[in-house]
Amino acid sequence: MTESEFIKQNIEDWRKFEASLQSTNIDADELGRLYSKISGDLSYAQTHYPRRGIRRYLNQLLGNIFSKMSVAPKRDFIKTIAEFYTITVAGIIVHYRQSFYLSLVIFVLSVSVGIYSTLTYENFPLSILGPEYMATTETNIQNNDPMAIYKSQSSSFMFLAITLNNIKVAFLAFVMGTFSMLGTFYVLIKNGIMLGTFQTFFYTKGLLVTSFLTIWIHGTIEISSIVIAGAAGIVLGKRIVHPGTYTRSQSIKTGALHSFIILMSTVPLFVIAGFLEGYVTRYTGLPDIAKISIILCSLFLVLYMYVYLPYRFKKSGMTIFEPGKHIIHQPQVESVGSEGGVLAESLKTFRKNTIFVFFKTIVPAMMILVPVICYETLYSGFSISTSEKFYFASFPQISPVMYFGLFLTIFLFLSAQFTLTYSQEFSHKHWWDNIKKYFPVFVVSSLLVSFPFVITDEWTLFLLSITFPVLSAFFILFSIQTSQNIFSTLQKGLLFTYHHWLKVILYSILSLIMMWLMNGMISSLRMLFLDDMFFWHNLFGSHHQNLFFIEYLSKSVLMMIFISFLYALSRTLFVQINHQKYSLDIQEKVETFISSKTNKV
Amino acid sequence: MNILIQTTQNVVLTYPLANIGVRIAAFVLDLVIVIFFYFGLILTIFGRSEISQILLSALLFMTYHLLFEVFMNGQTPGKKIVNIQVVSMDGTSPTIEQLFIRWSFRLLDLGVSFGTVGLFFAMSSTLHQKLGDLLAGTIVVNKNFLQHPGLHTLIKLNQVEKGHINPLLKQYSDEDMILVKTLLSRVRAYDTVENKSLLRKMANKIKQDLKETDQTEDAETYLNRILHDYIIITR
Repeated sequence: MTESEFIKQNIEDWRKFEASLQSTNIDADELGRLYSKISGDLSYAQTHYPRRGIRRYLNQLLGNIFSKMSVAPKRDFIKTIAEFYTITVAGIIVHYRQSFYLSLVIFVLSVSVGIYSTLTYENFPLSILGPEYMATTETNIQNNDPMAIYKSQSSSFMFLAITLNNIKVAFLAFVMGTFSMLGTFYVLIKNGIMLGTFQTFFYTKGLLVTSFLTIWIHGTIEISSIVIAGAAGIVLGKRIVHPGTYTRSQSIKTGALHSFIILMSTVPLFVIAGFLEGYVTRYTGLPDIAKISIILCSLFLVLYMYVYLPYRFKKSGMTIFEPGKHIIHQPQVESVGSEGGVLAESLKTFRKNTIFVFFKTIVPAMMILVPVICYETLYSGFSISTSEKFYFASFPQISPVMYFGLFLTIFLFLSAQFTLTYSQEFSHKHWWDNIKKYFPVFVVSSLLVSFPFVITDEWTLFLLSITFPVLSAFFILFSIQTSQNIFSTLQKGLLFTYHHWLKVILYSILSLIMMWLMNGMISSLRMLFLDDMFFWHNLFGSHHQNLFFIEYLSKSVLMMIFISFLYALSRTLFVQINHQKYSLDIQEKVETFISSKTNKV
Repeated sequence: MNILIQTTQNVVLTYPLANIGVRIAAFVLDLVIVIFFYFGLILTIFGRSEISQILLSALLFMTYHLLFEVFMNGQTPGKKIVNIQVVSMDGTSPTIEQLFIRWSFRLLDLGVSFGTVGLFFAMSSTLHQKLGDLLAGTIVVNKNFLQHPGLHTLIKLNQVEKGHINPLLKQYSDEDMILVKTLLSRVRAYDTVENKSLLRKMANKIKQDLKETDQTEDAETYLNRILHDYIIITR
């Protein structure tokens, strides 16, 4: 049946269907009959006329009505919330119960550390709680109202400020999980020690019961929320460190979702705790029985949500869902027609492959970089005047040792990326084989990539000067396959760059914009979490040296990410130009078409 | 970019995905609406007291997207204007949990990172999903099915005179003609020697098959005419 015969045969039904969609009184039976008829027609058209207009027409006809039909039944909002806690959250808690135990154990241990230290060292509370807080509380105790600090501000302001602050602490514990659990431990231990110190401090003043009853009105929920948020951070960190049978990126994705759900489940608790702290705790004159009942109620709520419900879930025998496997991504030629397509495609390649390579090479790279940066920090003459200079600029002139370290890292990275692209799968054997086989080419391109470090000491300038040589270095790498020796490889790669210089410049600018954004993000993350830890421990003796070390390390990691992105970009660009300009992908098809025999009709 | 969705009748429907530009437009429209409401209504009604300002603006800015998407079936006013919709991966409308997860990751997608994370994920994932979409299992589809010309154009094509067309054209398959079409578009985009020689070879082969000896037309116009004739003669 030809297309026009098919149309002629069925057109009456289609017209009827179109008309009945417009009209107000529709015969439901007739509409149902037409709907299944058109489903069949679409199925037929998909088999026989997949590339014709009629398939698109029927698809549109059915698609419009399908989107109207497939409205989910309106669900009860309260029921949905209840299901979120009884099934989703409970299931996740059962799945990761070890993390919850670990979080609780760490917290309890650090509380006991706080108690012990306060009892043993007289000055311990001063260093933990801060001189200002101590002075205020001492005055309050003398005024016979030791809990007066909770009355110092207006209640609604306190409610907002405290809720937001608590949520911030919880998110901090969660996000710190990305530093492979260490950050979460830090937050948990810090809060635990503070709690232990606080309680014992009041105990030494002989105010244990008063302070206990006042503080734990909001503290019951607040402290359990911190433990739960800590568990969420541990879940995330565990997923990063131990991917199990999954690939790292998959594992992180699932871990992020699950730990985020745990975290979200605590938000209502934080609101309740903030409310109690803002409005109730301030009435220090409340009868003890009221305080005790509030504390017991909150304890019951927490136990019900995070112990009883998971217990019930576990008894019901249900389990939670885990996703499928990861595939190595190669640029798709069909989708890289336009300039935006190239950028999107290279981002896709970057996301799917780079994270993979990053985790494969991060251990050797850090083994090279950390000692080298330590050396640079301790023994090179550096000059940093103010810390404000550190946002975008100032990557001071580097020593030959540092340069060599960077060169080696880049070499590792390039060879790993190259292996992934051309071997379809990544193994250490392939990697080593490739290094042996293409050693001179890797050296030349790594030299080209690391060259800008020699000529410039400004980070911004460095970014500007890196793109062009890097892209040409990558084009050299990709020319390996089609040439015999190193000289023809070099020649081909450089010629490719020369011929397409306009495109190369365009994409250089685009990737620079991307990287500036990324630089901003990494800097802000660093300032939020890393700087404090380094200054606290004072690793290198002087403030400037600590700053210098962090700066070098984060810039080196950023450099690796940037180079990986440029790699993905140049790879996509290389494939796209070769396919579009020289029609490499359809050459074979055309040859078979030309050599095929003429059919007589 | 399309997504395939299977209906209950086991027929596969093709839905077009919303592209990034349209989604950004929807976002900007929503932002305009929120700001209008904030300054136009709330500030005039409730005044500029500190607490009400913080509370109400937080409520408005934070819950706007979630509430509208829950009650308008995956659409906010901005999305409604540009006619895009959040749907679940199987084509049904999203559940409240999905919308909630999607919404809570707005903080990372658009809030903290000034949109870079969201943009990065939306551009790089296969189905244009931002981080929240990926984790919640939702996609954003374009509900403009209107790109299709409609039934009457198809009928009009049926009535075109076929007399002057070489019947030997029927020997080619749809795939052959798509190859011709791709080559033509390549030549239009990149006028290189390689592409042109491929096109010339193709035209010569087709001329030879059809037993046509007319040499006046150049390869490009000839193949364009062949494409048009093929569509008509195979109907």
